[in-house]
Amino acid sequence: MAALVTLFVIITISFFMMRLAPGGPFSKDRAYPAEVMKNIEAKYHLDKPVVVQYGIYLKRILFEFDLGPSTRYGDRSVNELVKSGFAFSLKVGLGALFFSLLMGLVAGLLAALNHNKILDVIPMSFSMVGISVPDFVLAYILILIFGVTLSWLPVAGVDQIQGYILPCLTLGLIYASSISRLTRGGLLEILGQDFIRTAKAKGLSSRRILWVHSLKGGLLPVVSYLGPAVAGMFTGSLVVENIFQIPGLGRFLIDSAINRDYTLSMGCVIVFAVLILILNLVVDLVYGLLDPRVSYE
Amino acid sequence: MTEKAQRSLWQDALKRLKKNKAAVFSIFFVMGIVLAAIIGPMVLPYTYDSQDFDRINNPPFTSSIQKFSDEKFVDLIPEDYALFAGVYWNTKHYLGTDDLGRDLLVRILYGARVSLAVGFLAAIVSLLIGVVYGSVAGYVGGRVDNIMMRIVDTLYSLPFMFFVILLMAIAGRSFYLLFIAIGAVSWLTTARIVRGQVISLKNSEFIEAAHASGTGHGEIIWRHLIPNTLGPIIVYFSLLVPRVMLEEAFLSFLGLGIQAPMSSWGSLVADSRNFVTLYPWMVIFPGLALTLTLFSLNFIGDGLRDALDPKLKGKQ
Amino acid sequence: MLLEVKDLSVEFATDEGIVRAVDHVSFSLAEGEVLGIVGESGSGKSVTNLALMGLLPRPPARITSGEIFFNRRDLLKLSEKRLRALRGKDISMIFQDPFTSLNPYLKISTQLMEVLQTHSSMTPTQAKKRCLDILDSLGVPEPEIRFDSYPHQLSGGLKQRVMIAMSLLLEPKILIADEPTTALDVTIQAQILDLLKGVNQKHGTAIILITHDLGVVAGLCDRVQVMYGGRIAERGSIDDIFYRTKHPYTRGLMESIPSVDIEPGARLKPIPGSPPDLTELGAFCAFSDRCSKVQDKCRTSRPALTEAGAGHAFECYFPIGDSLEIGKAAS
Repeated sequence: MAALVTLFVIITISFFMMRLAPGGPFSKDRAYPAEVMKNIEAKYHLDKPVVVQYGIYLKRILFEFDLGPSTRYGDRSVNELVKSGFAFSLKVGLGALFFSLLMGLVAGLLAALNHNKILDVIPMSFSMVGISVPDFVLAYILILIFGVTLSWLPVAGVDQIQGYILPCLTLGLIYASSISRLTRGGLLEILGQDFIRTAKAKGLSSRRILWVHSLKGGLLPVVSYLGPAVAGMFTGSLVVENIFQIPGLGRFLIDSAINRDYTLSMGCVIVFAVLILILNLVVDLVYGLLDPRVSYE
Repeated sequence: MTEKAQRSLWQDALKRLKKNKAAVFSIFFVMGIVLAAIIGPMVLPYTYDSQDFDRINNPPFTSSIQKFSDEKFVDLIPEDYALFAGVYWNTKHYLGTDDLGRDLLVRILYGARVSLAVGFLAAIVSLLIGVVYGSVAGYVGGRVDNIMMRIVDTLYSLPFMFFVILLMAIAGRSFYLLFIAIGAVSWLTTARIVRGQVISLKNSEFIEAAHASGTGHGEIIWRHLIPNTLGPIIVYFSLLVPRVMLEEAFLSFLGLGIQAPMSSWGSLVADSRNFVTLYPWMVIFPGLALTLTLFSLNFIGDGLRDALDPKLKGKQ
Repeated sequence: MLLEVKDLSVEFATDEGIVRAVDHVSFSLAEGEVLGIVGESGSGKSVTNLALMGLLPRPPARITSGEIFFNRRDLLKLSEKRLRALRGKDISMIFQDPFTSLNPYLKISTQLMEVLQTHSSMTPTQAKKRCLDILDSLGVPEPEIRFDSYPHQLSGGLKQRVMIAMSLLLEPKILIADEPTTALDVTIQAQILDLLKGVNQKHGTAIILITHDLGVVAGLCDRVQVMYGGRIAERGSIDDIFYRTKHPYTRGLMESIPSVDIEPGARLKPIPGSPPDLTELGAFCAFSDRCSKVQDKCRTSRPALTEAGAGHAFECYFPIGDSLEIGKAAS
């Protein structure tokens, strides 16, 4: 399947990027403490030819799910670090997804059902703003409003559950904007179709026409969008974790990039990539469930 | 399609565009920003790195000079401020200063230069790659097209931002590398759009006529196909610029893009992020500039799309 | 009289002005009768029937005059709720394009069953049996399989049969068929028309058949109404229309049908000119700018509906005097 090919490509690219990195564990100028080098040499068999190294690497990742030792935190493995960060990132990502779907779908639905009236214009204007605002700007605006001026929510850290609200809201609002526009567009398009006229001619109630006849088709554009949206939410979590001091995968990725902890960087990239691939598969499946004209192998 | 018919298509589109008030307003806004970015730093008495340690963390306005100084541990120079409508306005530094006493307005205008330049350049790089790749794939067709599009599909599913980050980490933070990296990430959709257009145009009659009269392939691509795909390309470009600017801001914010003392809007926000609760203007003004510009560019893009293809109006 | 339309007028507000899609039109439909409504696009034929069922989108549309009596009740004055109770049950409609008239996201079973669920109190088992029976009687092969399929898995002809089945589930008194065969192949056309004929004869369902094709009308209808510019040009029985034509437009329509007996090389006879701009019509004969017999009177006042015998009426100042054998309508 295409997804597996992509996975291979990602792992391969990461492998070669790592080897090419100047000052990394694989270049001639090894500036790492002895114990780290020991770990690395043991794991990566640096004395063997490149192809063998690649094979070992692949095998280790795919079969043992071992991402290697961190080059920064000598005694901790990437797996450990990733595991600790993953829970946080997952929570942020899911929270953002939840908010974006809730706000986006409701806004889009309202707008479509009140075409060209005030309940259409207001959400759509907001969504225009939401699409243009960069996530970090929105984050600071929300912090200033809710964290500083109103002091309702914590500005950083996720020791309390409220700590998740602002970060999830930030990401959620941005994607809700696109989702609301797509929902509105999709629904309006369906409502203008001939088969809706047939449904009316059969004397069906408008509730049935909306929920049974229109929703499936109307949501299709949103479902297609969810693939890149979810990817975006994970990318966006980089910023959000950064600003709100959440110790998730995103934070590790950024920090490790700045600190040149290549094994950790790669580990994060691979995990993110796998997550996105899985979620894209789920999205494809859902699309197939909604549209009976799509067939699968 | 004769030359004459093409010209009136553009005139038609121009007329439609002029009717779209939001788009027209946005065009003026962006032009205004560009002008300000070019002329501003020449006119203002500060450069982007001129530091003034007597005037660090000065707000653009405040309700009470004394209260501000006490609460925020900042010594304000009262002569700098003029009272108007019950508020003290900073007459020396209209948008305030940062933690090194640098004038924020100038830095924002310099930031405009950088952000806009990177945005346009990276978008152009992306466009060029995409157009060439897409037109070749579409024109040649067959197996070659198949393979080329497979590559695009695979690349499309890669979470690119992560690789860009990795790349920046490995290769360091050079200005050129930054926008090549960003540009290289966004060419995929351009390629797809152009390929689609080329394929649908490929079989039209005027192309056949060109073939029949012995025009070479390269010339056909250059003189016939590309001009006719110009519509969607323009629209896509106008939507690409804000997207690319956003990516640059994103990277600079994370510390991987433009570095001090040069400033782009993203890095300006990043520089002052630790002070946001104390001195919010340092974050708000660059953020506002970035948001408003992106907003305008998006409106222009939307407007162009409606003007060039009114059938798409109202749908996302 | 099953249905009586009295003095119906429908206007649309558009950017270019007010369009009078239907301009003081009256007609009636008896029980078990098949009435054909013929006209070009823009003649008002579809709008009339959408108005009947209350399916006109209002805002843009406005009903400015008229009453539509069905079962002694004025449909135009009924609440939406009452209208919904009628639709699909007493009056059904099938549309022109079966490809777009069925919901591609739902199974055929869902789309059939919901009619019964909405309008009757049948149990699911009874409902399913009814659906299968109707599909079978309409000549759908292997109805069980089709019942469980999605629309895209059926051919155009089958889809149209499903549409017809959907409209007959509750044995409506009136079936309105809006250009039911226009989107289909000629051979399928004939089958569908036969089907409709069968429905009319077996169940006594009155049918309003809307079409632009006189040939279709000839085989199926008892009476015909020719519309032009939102007005009635002529109406009467089949014989009246075909053999005692009065209105120049009707004759023009018939002469423009290519006949099998035409000599090779002979030219076709289209009606000169183009359909009227509906925003410009007023107190004059709508056909005046294309009529070969036009006189000043036609341009300055609108002819009233004149009777020419039992049920045969027309709007024209200078009708065709002696009837000419126009010949067979192509089928």
